[in-house]
Amino acid sequence: MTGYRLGAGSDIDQEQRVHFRFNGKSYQGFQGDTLASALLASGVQVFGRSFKRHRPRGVFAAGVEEPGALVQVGVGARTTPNVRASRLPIHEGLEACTTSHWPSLNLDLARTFDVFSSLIPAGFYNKTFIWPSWQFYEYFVRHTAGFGHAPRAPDPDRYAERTIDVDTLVCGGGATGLAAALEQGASGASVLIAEQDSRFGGSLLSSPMQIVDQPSEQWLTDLLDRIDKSPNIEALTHTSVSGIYDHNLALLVSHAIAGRARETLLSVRAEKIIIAAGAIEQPLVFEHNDRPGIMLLSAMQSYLHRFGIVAGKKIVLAGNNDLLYKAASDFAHSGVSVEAIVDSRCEPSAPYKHLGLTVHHGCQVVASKGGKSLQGVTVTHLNGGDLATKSFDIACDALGISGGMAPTVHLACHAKTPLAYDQSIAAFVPVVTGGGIEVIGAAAGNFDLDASLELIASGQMRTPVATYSRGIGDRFARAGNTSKQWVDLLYDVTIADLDLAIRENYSSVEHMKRYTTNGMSVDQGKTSNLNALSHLAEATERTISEVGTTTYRPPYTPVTLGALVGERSGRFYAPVRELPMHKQHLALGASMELYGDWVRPSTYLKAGEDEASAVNREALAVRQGVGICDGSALGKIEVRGPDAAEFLNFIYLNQVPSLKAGRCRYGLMLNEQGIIFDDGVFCRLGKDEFLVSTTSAHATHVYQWMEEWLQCELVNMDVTLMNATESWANVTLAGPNARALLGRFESDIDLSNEAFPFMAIRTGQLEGVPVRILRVSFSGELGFEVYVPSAYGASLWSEALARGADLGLTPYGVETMMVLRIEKGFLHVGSDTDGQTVPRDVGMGGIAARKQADFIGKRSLSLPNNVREDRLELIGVEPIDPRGELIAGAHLTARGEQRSQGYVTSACFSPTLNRPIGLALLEGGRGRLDEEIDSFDCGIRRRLRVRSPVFFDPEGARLHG
Amino acid sequence: MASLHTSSPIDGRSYAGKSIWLSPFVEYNFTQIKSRHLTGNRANDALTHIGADAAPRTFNSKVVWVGPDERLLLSGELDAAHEHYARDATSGLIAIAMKGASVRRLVENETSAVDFTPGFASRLRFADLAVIIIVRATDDLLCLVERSAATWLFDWLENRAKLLDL
Repeated sequence: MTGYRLGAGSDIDQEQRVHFRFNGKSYQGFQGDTLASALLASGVQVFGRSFKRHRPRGVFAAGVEEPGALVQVGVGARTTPNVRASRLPIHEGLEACTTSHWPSLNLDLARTFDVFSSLIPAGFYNKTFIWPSWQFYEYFVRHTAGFGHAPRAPDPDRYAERTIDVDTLVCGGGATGLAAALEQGASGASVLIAEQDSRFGGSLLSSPMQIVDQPSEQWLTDLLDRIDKSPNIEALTHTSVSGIYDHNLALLVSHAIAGRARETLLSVRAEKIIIAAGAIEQPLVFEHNDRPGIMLLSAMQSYLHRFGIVAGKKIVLAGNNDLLYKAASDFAHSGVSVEAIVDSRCEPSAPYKHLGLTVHHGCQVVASKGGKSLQGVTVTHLNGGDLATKSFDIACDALGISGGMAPTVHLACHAKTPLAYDQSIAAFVPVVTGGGIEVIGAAAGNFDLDASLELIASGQMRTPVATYSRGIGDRFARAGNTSKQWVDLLYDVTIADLDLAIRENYSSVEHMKRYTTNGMSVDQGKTSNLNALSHLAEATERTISEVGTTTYRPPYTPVTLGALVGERSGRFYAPVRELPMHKQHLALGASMELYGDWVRPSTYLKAGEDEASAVNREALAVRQGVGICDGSALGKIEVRGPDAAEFLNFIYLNQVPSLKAGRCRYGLMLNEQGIIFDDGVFCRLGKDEFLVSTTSAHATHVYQWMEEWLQCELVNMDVTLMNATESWANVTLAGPNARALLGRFESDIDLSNEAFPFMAIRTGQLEGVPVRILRVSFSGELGFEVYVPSAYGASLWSEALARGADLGLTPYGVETMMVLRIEKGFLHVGSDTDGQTVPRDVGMGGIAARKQADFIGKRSLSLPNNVREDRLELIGVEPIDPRGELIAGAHLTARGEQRSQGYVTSACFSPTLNRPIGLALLEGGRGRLDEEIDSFDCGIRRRLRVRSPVFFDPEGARLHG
Repeated sequence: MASLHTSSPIDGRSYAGKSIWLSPFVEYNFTQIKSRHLTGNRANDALTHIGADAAPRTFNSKVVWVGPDERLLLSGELDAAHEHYARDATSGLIAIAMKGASVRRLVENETSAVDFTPGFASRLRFADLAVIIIVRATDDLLCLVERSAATWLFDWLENRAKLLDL
């Protein structure tokens, strides 16, 4: 094919030249050109290589169905693979190149795969690459396979999102889509119409015609003007509908919305979705139907009318339907001569006889001739349907083929619309069953535009299927070498491959697809699925309806990860919660980590420290002096009302009514299966007022869970729940000097041990602001959790640092907190419990047994599985060798045995004890103290000893001091 | 000894775009009121005491309707008799003022749940957070967010305004 620019085209501006580079060579085109049109005009014939056999590929189509001309665009972090040259507008400085060939596009040594193609049929990789192992071949296969390459640097571009609710979404901006949008808008509905192309008009741009007695260009201009003036219609070009999901949610990707975003993802919810997605022309199947120079007929028309390009100097048209004659008429009108038409149907077409065309009726193209470009075709007479022997050649350098139009059913299928095979058009059409989905125009199988428009104007969206006026013929040449008859041009799937799949019993359409990979490539089978199904049906003596289709899933066309991610990357991946003293932590050099939603200090690194040494220093400072920690992330739920005690008594494992005002109690929350899911301290502020603390990760969940119980089950209880987590900042002071430091603040609270014992709460004023102080401890030291309104948190923190400097006050982070609590054997729900841990496993079975009142999970605790003697029980473990390792997650076994009897749940190096320690869940653990066991991790056994989980201060003297 | 002072995570923050302005809003104190559907609903008593309530998804000079069982009192006070179902939520909520001709575009870009009629108020999902949006005028909105997420949300609004070239 030697394409050339004939003259003007509706898309291009010949006053504006654009310079670009393709495969390192400079070219120029016009503003409005696509890469494909600009290169065609420059005489480029080969645009790429096929996937498996590395055969040369030219431009085959003009839209998203292009299977061969895939290019890599841009360089560096912005490079994008697998861009269709037919959809890529050129711009000044564009860099594009082909991929998947070596050393060059014109000389690709991998073409030897084509020579030995009989050794690599469909599914060959399922039968090879076995000896000696897959890994032996992997490097070579990975470097040979695939199209293009992904960028290796973070994407510098930005991507936006938009959420839209409309009455009507129209998918497709061709004639019927525009008419439908206008009709819907006139009824007062809010309308969004999306067109993937750069202009509205659909097939009218490629094949102008008369509509309602006026040229289609004028009709289109008038329609667009009316849409532009409609305040309730938003019209977007460069916007593809990627998929339709449940409840009429559609995802669209737009490349043209103004702003700094490269692409915009639109989430559209519509009462009604009208699918006017048009139809895609289907190819013919014959020997060497993949040769550059062979193009879909509609693509030839598109390049002519939109870009002023003629595909070749000697053009032959071949097909099985009336579109051949419309195209020939278009070409004649533009001064382009057609050498011949090859029509597989037998009846002559009367309306075009005046064009003086050479028409070979009842004939088929059975092979193309040439090398990397087309030089001719071999045509054979069909004699009453049987293949005759008389054949002849026609010299040509461009072949336009048409196997008829297939409605674009993808979006309808996303919306779960069933399909029915229509013999009259040899394609599937959607069978619309309501649900706010309508399919119109060519997408519904109606190729009569005037009829479609009439129905839309009359408010009848559902259109009857119309047939080709003289029927549609066969798409398949039934002679020649089937291993050279392509069905899927991109993945190199031939008729021979389909036949192989059938012989090997992969004859269901799903198996055929996956075994041959037909339709699984970048074009998703837009020009291959139908032919594959048709051949499958014939070869297995079934109807096409019986064969059916595979499932069409979003996206309709490839969507960049950038568009899907939008701004949800880096800082905006998900909301991040900061502590009230966040800025202070940063100022102190804290190493911040994400713990659930919260960013919290893990440690406060000093110069020359790594995390381990910082943790050791902080832990010793707490044990020997006083530490300060930001505990504001802990959940705080206020429970009030006359029935508050009874309510919490039902929520908690522990006794609640017996708790006196001013006292606290540690509690476990169980689910209905008796499994521990949260723990914390609950405090009684007054007769009808409690403060519940939860783990920071579960604060919202526990609050909602309590509300659900209150509103759905305990509806008669007079209780009010309020989530006060955000309202209070928590400055925790822990260590022997904690009381001394706290005493340096002006307060009406008596901090003495007699007046303020362990597990008590006091409220009052601190430095003139309301304060709640809990004397509790997660560190095992004398500890005070000081709660002030969050707005005062930062100030209190700074004051504490200033006033505690001479006491050796040391900030400590979450990692240090974990070390301190492991030394004390304090539970961390989620680490030391799993989805089966019940209270008796952690030594609280007695509390459950003694509680008479009903509570959540009570009944489940008596189930046989929950009272077995060999349940996993929480114990402490330490390596026999003090210099040994203890790995959290390691399995535990009896010495030298294989069966896992539990696992290490938490592990750390204890600076207090100067050795590794940990907690673990072990079968019957509490009865195995001092037993030597093994840990097993990644093939390594280590000797451990079972200990009490309380490694430090088992009497609790420091807590009660 | 020095007294403690207050601070906000978005102290000193502001964004001035082409047609949108973002800034902290500190004129309200917030009292959260929770109620239950009980006979003689005592929360309603509280609202009667104040002399105001708000219709669903609206606000007035005293009360913001947040949900069927929740209100926000703006800068009002409740006496001890009603404290069982009221608490000071001022510290836990941060208000961001959004003003300008493009406020509507910024918000609609993210959600369609806001009615821009002055007087609208509702808790809704916005930028993956639960926020309360109050429409004081078509070009004057307040966004109330939990304190811990205020910095992130302010950054998000500023980032989105820049991306949309507002």
